Amino acid sequence: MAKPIPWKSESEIDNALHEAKGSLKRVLLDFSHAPQ
Amino acid sequence: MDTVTYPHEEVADFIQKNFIAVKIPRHELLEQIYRVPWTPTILILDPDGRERCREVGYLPPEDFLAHMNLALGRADFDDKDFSSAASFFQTVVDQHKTSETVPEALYFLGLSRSKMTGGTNDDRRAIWKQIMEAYPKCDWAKKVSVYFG
Repeated sequence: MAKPIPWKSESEIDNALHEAKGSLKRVLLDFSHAPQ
Repeated sequence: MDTVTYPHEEVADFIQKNFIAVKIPRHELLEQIYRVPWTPTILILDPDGRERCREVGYLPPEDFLAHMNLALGRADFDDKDFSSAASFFQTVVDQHKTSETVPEALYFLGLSRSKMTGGTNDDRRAIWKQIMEAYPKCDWAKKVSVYFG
């Protein structure tokens, strides 16, 4: 069973960027709400 | 993406290994700031917020993994981290053999290996020959054709 992706919310973009700075990771922004 | 691609075990593992993931629900201001007129759109950002990759449109799990490995490889290549870049490109070539991203991955794998070993033409040619032989009609074959006079 896949471990669920720990998504951050849209209000946490700055936190995500800050967290990425302390790791070797980059930030993935997913705009994939229901089709328009 | 939420019903097929993101629940896929390999995709979920890949995202957690390589990204801090942020999900943006419908949000007019953020769509304006990041210039997103259509969804699904996926952006990869550096920690300083600089955009490094943009994917528009649905990607099934296999394609998502191929495109993301290629994107991270391209980002590392541009940052001159050629060893890490080569690792991502090699993953595309080895694990996503049917992806349309393979010729591009081979192109940059050749360049990355060449940079890692001091820039000899032989390194590039051996890898680029695979593009000429397996994907002779693609744009990447045209790019390397000049080296195979």
